[in-house]
Amino acid sequence: MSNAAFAADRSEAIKASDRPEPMNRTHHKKQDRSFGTIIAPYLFVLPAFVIVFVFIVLAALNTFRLAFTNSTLLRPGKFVGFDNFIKLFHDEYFLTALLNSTLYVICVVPFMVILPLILAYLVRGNSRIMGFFRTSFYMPVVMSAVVVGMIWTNLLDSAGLVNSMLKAMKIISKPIPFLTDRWGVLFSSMFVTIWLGLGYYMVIYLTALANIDESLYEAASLDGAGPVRQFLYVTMPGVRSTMMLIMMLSTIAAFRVFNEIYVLTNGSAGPGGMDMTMSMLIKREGTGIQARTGYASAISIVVLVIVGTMLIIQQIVQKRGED
Amino acid sequence: MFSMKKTVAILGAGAMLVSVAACGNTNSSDNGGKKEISFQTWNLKNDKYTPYFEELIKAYEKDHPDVTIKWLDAPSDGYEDKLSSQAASGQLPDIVDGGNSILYGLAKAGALLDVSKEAPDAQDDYYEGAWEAVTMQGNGIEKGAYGLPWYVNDGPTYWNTELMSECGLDPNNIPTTWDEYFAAGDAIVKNCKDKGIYLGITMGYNAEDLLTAGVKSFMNSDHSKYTFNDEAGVKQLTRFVDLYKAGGIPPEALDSSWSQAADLFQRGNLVAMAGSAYSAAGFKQNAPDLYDHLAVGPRISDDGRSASLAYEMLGISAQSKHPDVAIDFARFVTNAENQVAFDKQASVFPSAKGGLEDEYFSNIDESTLEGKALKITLDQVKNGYGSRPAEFTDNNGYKNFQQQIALAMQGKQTPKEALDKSVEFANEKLAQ
Repeated sequence: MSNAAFAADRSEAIKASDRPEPMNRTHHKKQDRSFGTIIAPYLFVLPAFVIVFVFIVLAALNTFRLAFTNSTLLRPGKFVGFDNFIKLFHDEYFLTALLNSTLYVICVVPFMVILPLILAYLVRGNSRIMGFFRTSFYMPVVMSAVVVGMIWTNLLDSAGLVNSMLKAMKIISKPIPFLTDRWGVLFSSMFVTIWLGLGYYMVIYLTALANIDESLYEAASLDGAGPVRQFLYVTMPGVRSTMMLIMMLSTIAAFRVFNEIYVLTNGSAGPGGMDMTMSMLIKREGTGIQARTGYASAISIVVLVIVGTMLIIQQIVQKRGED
Repeated sequence: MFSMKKTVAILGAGAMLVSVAACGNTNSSDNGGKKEISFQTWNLKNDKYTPYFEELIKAYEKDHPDVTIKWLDAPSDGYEDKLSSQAASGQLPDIVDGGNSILYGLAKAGALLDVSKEAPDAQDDYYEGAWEAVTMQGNGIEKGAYGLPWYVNDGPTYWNTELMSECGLDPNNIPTTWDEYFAAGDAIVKNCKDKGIYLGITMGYNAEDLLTAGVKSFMNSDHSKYTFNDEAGVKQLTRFVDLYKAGGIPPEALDSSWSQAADLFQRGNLVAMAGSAYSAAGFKQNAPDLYDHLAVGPRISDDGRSASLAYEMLGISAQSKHPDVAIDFARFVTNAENQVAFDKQASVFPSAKGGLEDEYFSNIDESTLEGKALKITLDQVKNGYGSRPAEFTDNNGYKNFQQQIALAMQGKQTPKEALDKSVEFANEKLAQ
């Protein structure tokens, strides 16, 4: 068929479709159905939309509004401009919390990205023993924060299992102050965070590992690459995007750390309050009858800005790496 | 016709909206011509106390056929947060149970009635100290009684006599003053330092330890400033810091809670622990071996008075539709007769005049540890006081106070700096 003939044919077809169909009962039914078809998806989405709008969008907008007021929970307060933000940078607890949360990101994130990958690499496969290890490593993820707190407080207490064993083995003469020293508490909490996160991120890596073509390993093997070189040159590039995802997730989680320090210090933020983190500070300022919701909102905004900036930097670095 | 999926979607959306709109209304209302009053306690609806409250409500409703009492009980965890959200949403129950710091927060927000205005004669029903505890003023609060006093709690100091003997102390000579207390600390350091045995962790969670050592007052008379950083306060804190550095106080004291202190005491790491009158029953149940070696003494004090009285109170919502009924019922709950009936079950003490003269309190069997603990506490309640002002809440000074002390104990600042900073922080919060 020539192009001209084809065009004519199409034009005819369009004309034919433009013609009105004769009015009949089938047409009415079609109109009803199309009304139902249009409204149904909105109805399905409505509950989720209402929940997201009320509890996330409105709440976030309200946080922005409150950050510029001196409101407390029971008093609406007045607009105070940037006063809350200026006060923040003169607040010792805020500066301590900022330092601790930043240290948390710096120390925890590399372990969160690398260790679960190594673990996932080691426990992949379908054997029963691997299944047992996968389950064991995932176990902490399903534990409640209270249980985790009890386990680790009992282990790390000055009279706990770890100190008792080290003492019995004559490695130490005095208990290591895991829970009674500023840095002891902070690093113990980091350890617990890594312990808790290993299983979770391992599962994400396992999915990514399953998508790497086995032939790549075979080819690498034929080229004489051992397990380490295969891990470095096949596995790691294969899960690169997952690594970036985990880096982002663990950065957000590390900066907002709360549970681990809270349970290890019974909510006291460690000796002298020196293990305060941003989330603990938000809780301290933003809860209770005399909660300073304006001030707590300002801290929340700072957290949002810092985490957002970290993520943007990571994205830029990732893009540059890809280029 | 709608398909099943669409019907479910519509019903689901409708149900959700209805449930959001119907989020619990807990305050007063009129129910079929009757005045309904909501009465909220915390952690009291259980096998031990429910029958008491049911009987109490029944008795009141019988005498007041036009009133219905709706009893609500909230778990202790997050109780303050629950009250906050109730107050913020205008759903505060007509009568709320709470300590002075909780009621202070509500009073400051204008959520509670000034009972001294609404019922001026109520003051005559309660002991003077109890009425002082519910009286609040300053920092935006017009002087008044923002609640009715309910039960009072305090307790003795528990001593592990086995550890006392082991560390060279005489179990028959229980320390009662601060000099004796620190002398006991020195003996423990000398004889038991390497055994994991410590005197106690008193300072760091008891602000009253300053007042019983000679600090003149915690705040000034108009409650506009804190004053506990005087010479006596610094001297007292210095003694604690020295004891900590010598090894008489465990490192856990730096960030410990009362429950941690109880754990250490039950594990045999502490020689002494400040407890409540009913702690004895807890030791009997949880640590029977320890119970056999326990002795009780009064709270350590240089003037013979306890400064650790804790008053429970009933606040009346400012939004109550029936404030007269709410106050009347709260007075009924807190009258001497009903308080004593409750106190017998809870090992606490009455704040209503005449309550302490009840036969129950004059016939305490002192042959048991529980009886001794109750008797010592009773004597303390009679002439003691609550040292921690309502303003000195966890977030508005108390936690910071503990943290500054911890830093002093670690040698990161002097005791004077610790108290000065604590006062400065708390004063700043007062002004906010």
